[in-house]
Amino acid sequence: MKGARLLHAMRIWRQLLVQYCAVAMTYRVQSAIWMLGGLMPIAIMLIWVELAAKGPISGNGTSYDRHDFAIYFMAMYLVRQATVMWSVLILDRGIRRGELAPLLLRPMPPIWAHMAEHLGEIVIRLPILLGVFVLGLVLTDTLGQLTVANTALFALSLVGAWLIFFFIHYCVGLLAFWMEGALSLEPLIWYFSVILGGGAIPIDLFPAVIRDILTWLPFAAMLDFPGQILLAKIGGAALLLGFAKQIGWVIALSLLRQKIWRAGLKRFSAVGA
Amino acid sequence: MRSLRLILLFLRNSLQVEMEYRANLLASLLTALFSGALSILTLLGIFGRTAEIGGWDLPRMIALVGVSMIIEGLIDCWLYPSLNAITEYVRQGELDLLLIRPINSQFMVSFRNIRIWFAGNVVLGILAILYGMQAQHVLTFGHLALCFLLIGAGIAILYSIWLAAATLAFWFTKVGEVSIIAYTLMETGRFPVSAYPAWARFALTYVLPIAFITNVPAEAAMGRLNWPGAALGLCAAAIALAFGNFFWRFGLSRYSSASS
Repeated sequence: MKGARLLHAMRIWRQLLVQYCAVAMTYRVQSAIWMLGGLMPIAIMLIWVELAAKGPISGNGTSYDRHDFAIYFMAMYLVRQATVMWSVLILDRGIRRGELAPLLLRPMPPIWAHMAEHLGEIVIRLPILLGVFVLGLVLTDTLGQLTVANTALFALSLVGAWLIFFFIHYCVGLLAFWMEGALSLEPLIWYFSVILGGGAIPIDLFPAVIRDILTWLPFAAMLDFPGQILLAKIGGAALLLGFAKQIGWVIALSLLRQKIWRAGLKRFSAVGA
Repeated sequence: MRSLRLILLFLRNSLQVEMEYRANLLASLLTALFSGALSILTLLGIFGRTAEIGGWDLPRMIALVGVSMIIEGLIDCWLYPSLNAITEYVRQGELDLLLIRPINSQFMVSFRNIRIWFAGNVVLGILAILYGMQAQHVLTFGHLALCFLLIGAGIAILYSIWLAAATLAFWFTKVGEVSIIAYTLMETGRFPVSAYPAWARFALTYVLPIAFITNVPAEAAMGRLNWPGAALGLCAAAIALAFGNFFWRFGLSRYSSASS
């Protein structure tokens, strides 16, 4: 019985992914414009590489030379591009205009379709993203520093990063059940995640007190941690702890999402949609 | 005179809509506060490890952040709502209705939507500039006036680029979120051009002119700009405006109305 249900779920998922890949393909020009906006980490990389031209920059027991900065910020580029989210927009619209109602009638949770919509976009973008990533590493002469093991672990941490960011956005988007301006909170998520997560400065280079706080936040688990893996700056116990933090945040955030969703849905039906 | 009256009219119209969404004022101020605090945190992080960025010390960088925040505030309350609507006007055929009105069409699309609540960043940006100037003991009325004048020039440049990009809708109908280009430009402009590698500096001055948009006004605030520098900034703005206007009219001449 359980096997049959799993098979059914897998069929639905395959269908959703095929459908949303096609959607993403239709809007590929728009995706290309969006991707131009994602070049920011590369500009920040240029600044740090210039700053480190005179010598490595050290802080909290580690140090970053110009090659480290290049790898770190190319990792930031890939993580941020692979985790583009617009679920706040979808949910805000879905809840206020009632576009959510038909999704509720389908024989699966609406979040599946929302996840598939984002994944489809990534699938379409991935070839270009990887191209820019590899090109950036080649131009900064750092491609040789990567190892197969670290690259594989980095890819694994991307999954955690994606889930963390997805659930953060989803929770904020669900606030539209209660308030008008959920959409205006989106830039805030962006600022918080990028700056507190290490998207502008590697977490290690913050003053020690701030650093110790930041490493426990979901933002660092999402951005700085994958960067550290690609740099091969952590291993052993620290690596396991990093993945444990990711998993912990994914579980915590998905439970939070479920709570908000259930509470909000009661209101939604009460409005009569 | 008539233009001014029209702008006031547009502003009043927009304000009537805005009054319905007063919570947005709070959201805008909160966003501005947080983003300001996070920018300062970034600066503290960087200046904990190095004494200067591309030759700029901390007070100058704070003034630069202030200039960026003012321009971003103006984007949020004016450029974004106005210019981002152009592609929708074209797609839904609303542009035809704007064209037959007895007003300059570029003027119309440029000032029609203003969301005054979203100007939270402007307030904080001014405070940041004042703080940077005070810390360097260069707080004079002359410097501040020149800084604001050049911020105006910077906005004119950004406006022209954005208008030209949005005008592409005449050919492609749907150009999506061209706003993303402006936001990326502004993020790049949070750093001095001199902090970028030599090959990028030329592009950031003449192709994507963030040097004129954010750097020059910040230099003016800190009393580091001579008159030729200021004149160059104003010239760049004049050229950009002429280019934007030319591109708009060129686009219009190619526009095949939605109803014909």
